[in-house]
Amino acid sequence: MVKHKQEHYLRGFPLSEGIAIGKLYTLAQYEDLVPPIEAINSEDVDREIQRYRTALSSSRHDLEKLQEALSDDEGSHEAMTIIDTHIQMLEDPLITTFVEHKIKQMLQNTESVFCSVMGEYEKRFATIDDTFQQRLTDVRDVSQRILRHLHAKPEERHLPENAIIFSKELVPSHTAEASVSRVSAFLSEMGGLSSHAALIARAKGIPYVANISMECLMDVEGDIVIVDGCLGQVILNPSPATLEHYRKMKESIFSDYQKLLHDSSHASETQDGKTIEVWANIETLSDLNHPQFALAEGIGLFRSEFLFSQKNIFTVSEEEQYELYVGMIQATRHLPIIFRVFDLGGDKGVVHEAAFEELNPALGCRAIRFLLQEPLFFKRQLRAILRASVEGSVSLLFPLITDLDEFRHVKKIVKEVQEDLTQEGITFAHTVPMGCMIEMPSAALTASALARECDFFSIGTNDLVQYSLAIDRSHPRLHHHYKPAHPCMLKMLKMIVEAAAPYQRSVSICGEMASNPLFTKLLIGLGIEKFSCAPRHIPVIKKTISRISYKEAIAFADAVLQLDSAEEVEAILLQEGSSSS
Amino acid sequence: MRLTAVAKVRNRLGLHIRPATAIVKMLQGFRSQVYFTVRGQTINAKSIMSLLVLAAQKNAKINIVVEGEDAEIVMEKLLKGFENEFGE
Repeated sequence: MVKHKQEHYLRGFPLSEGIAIGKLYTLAQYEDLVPPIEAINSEDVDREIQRYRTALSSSRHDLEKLQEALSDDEGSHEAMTIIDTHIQMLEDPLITTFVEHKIKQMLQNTESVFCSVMGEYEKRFATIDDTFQQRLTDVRDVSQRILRHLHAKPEERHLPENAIIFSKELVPSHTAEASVSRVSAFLSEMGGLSSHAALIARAKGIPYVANISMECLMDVEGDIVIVDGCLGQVILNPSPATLEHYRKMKESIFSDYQKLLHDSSHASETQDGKTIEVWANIETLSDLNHPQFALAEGIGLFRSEFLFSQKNIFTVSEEEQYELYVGMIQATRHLPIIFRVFDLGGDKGVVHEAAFEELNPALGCRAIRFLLQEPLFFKRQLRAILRASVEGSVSLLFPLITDLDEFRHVKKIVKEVQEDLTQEGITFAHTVPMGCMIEMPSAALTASALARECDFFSIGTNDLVQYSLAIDRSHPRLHHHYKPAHPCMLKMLKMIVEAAAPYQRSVSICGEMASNPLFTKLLIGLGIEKFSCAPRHIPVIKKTISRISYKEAIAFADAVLQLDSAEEVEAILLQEGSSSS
Repeated sequence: MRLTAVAKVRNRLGLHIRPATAIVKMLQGFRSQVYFTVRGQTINAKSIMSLLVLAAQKNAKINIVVEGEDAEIVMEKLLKGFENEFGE
């Protein structure tokens, strides 16, 4: 293995964003914990069983303590559910009575009996479907915990401050137990966006990059490494200049964040006075209580489908919807709201009873396509929104519009709903702006036709990248091809902005690009004047805007548009991000 | 008493970790033995680890056997649970 003396960039897959600088610390692996087999006498059986019961009860105690600690954290509801399952596992007859029975039968030390039982169990797992395989991680998590309690513990290595924890595979309790004050990032060889460990890391705000090969890290244990959870890269042997750059970036993000939290009056305009609006993406009513929501100038994307459970979204009545929407509008203290109609299907999963298995859900009957095929369901929501709109300033947004024909079809349905309401003598808002989500290449390329007939655009960058590059970003082997910085994206963004300009249509951006400060200057330079992101990202984006010169941003975007490769674009964004911070 | 019934998994992701946990918790405190059979494989439904290894997908049909003095109430709760996707 060559010792990398030079700065070395490892490209991984970002699972949780943020930047960390710290010392690498490798966790012992499951396989490392396999104990030697020792025969025991029948008179030792009781002692072994007692030892096993103590280990189980200590494990249970750990998990209960962990649950208690998590209950104080915001956003750790998911983590608590997972830990709850782990507690159930400790009571599983396979773990309790079966292992005890095997100790008596095999007359071996508890550790080896336990490992052989778990080994047999894992073999059963090996034959089943992939989606369930992931759950094996949870089982391993619990068995590692039990084994740790059984071991006559070798002295635990001291966890360095700002530890960057690496493990071949991270299990949920690794991320759940991590204290934000000691652990600064996670790295692993395996793991995906939907893994439980990643979910918990995101909830706690700890950066996490997966798909990092263990071999590359062998020689740098204890060394300082940089983890960039935004770009998904790890930098080994960072040069003093790189360290300085990341240190500054981290500090400025942190201090700005602190400052901004106390400065909600901060106007979001560039250095040279160009106003850029920052709105919030909202999923649930509780998001409205998020402290950073106060900084938003409006709700740029209200994902209405999140208000209802998958089960009752198809049965919820117009009245129930109406009341929820009115409550929502009142709770926002009259901020403008862009209501995106139910966006179902694709990665959100169609759960309708009539739904059939789709070979290719991302290209299937999702979003507006689904609504147009279920007109009664679609109209019920439209009626509720139009009626509620009397209470505030509401716009309608339609997801995954393909082209003008489809948008005209949508408008026709809205018109029918309005006519019905008029006939029935029901009060509703007569002029509700209607916008298109631009998230398909076909819509981007024909944006000028859409601009003529709709009132505004909202660019969904996640889907636009997915459909432009034909990449499933959760694909374990292809995720690195998911490149928002791809030149084709930048050209399309430019095209969309230019298509909207002659008709003075507002263009906002609401995908993940909107919440990544590395893209802010470029997006402003491309002509985006409205960003919409989750409340927790608002402070950073607002601060980034305040440091940008609008004039420079335009020149910068022109220069970046000349680049031919995504790698070149990423490199220049990074360089720019560091020099401006 | 021994009762049998067939239930369909409605949960989108099948009997994954959340509904499996809900089933085990629901059965706690009842005396009956509960067995699930899918594709010829029979497991003890009071064991979370066995439920996970069962890997029942959405729309899978599960043969339920409940045996014991409180079988009736257990079966009723289970069928209701499958119906409402175990609260998911």
